[in-house]
Amino acid sequence: MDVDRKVIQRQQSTYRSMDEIFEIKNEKYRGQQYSQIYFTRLHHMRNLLYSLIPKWRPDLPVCTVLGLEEGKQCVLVGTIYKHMKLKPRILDEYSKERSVVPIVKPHNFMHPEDHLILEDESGRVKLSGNVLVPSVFVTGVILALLGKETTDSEFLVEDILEAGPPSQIERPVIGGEDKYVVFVSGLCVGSSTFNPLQFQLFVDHVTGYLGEVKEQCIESKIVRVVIAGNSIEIPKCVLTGQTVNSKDQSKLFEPIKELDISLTQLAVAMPVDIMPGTGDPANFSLPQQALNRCLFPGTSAYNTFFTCTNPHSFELDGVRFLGTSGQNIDDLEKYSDAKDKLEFMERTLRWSHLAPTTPNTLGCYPFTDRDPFFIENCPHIYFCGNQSEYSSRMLKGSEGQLVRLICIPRFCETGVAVVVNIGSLECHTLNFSTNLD
Amino acid sequence: MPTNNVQDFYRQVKSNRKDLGFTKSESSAKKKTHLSEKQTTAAGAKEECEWERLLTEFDMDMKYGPCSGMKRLERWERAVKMDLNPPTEIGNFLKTMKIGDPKRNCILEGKLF
Repeated sequence: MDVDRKVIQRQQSTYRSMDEIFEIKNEKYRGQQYSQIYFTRLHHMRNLLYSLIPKWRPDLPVCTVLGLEEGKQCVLVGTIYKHMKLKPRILDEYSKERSVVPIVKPHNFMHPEDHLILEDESGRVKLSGNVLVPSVFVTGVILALLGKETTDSEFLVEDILEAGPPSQIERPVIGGEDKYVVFVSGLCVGSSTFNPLQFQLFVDHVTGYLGEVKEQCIESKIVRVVIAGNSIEIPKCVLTGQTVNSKDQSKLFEPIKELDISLTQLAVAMPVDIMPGTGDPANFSLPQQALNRCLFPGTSAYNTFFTCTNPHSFELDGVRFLGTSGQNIDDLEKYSDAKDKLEFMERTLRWSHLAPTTPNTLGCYPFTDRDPFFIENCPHIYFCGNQSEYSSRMLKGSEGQLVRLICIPRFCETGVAVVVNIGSLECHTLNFSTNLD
Repeated sequence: MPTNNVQDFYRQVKSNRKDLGFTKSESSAKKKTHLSEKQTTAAGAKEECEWERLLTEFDMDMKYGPCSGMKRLERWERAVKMDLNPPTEIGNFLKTMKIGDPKRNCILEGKLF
């Protein structure tokens, strides 16, 4: 038998994890409240905006809400609060007047009467005008607004300055052969939609067990696999809060065990990053902490296996990656409106904030000394997991920043994995189907 | 349980600014020399009161952010990190404090929930 004995070497790249800012470490909950996050967010982002205002409107004075004067044009910096009629409130349960507001779309809480309010330490003012569209913004965004106070004590907005996109470190020129990173999310091992064969095809393809020498050459250029959340789905029937009887206990760990076996095959071949998502056995609130390595007894034996936080930030050969398992974008979709998911992602970059709706409508650890979701440096590749379909585009910033935005679809529903070339930032999909029709 | 009386919440402190003979804006150096002159117990109590007032003032200053859920020193150090220039004498005083001293906690400690 004629066998090509040439061994194909897998490409390597230098990896640097930048998850440190998302780690909660030894912090203990000591009764701190969420006001601290808003304070630190406003402080840091206002400093950033103050440095941009002289370039934007050098001739106008900068005011606080308390220092507003009627009819005088000025610049205000503060936190946006979006007053929403349909937003569910915990106090509604206790309300004596039971005015039932019908929710038209259960997945979106927008209403034409929604309006924006700007807050700083000194006070709050209602915003008006056609420049600022309430459907675009959400609570927690920091903006600089140009305008003047009207006779009915509203602030008429004439122009808006957003904090981002932040500046970007220079993208290194990667010579030699191409290198790829594969993204996959929403494996949902253990759910009814999970197809073991489909996932095995993915594992075999990426590790180079499928295809001929030509395919294997391409596969050898994959330097890393990133699993962006929702890898496991534990059946709802065992998550009732009751003690699980011994017969059902296997249902709890069976999905994890199955995932461990597949991940071992991946980790043998190349570095693997796993991020937690909504369905995974990690903490609920953002930043989600790395999954415990004990969950994966087989895979954790390899030093190519990395459990990461969500959001996850890292550098590969100097190319910066940032992404989440999708909670931040899904939450924006509930409280604002855009033509597609990429537009939401684009907005978070323009606001320089990964998850502005934390802590208002998205769970978040009550940090006191920092806001980890403030994006200081623009990534080169910005991804978001667990979306319904694949989409991607390049974003060009005002200072020449180039960002590849990627929506990673749920693998269990679509069988799609996303491949990115870290040199050229080009992006394409891998489709796996077990359908024989 | 909510308190009905404001005085229960904020301990009543008589203004003793004049007694000690200095105002907040004066330099800390002057304060130290002034305080070292009076070593009697009465002066010690007054000094205590004065510090209490200064620390409360620091807690209530919104410039340095909300105070609940943080130790006073943590809040002071955060303010330093954010370049907000909190009063140095407050920081020095907080650093000399013993572990377990109730004055390490902010004024709202244990009163919010």
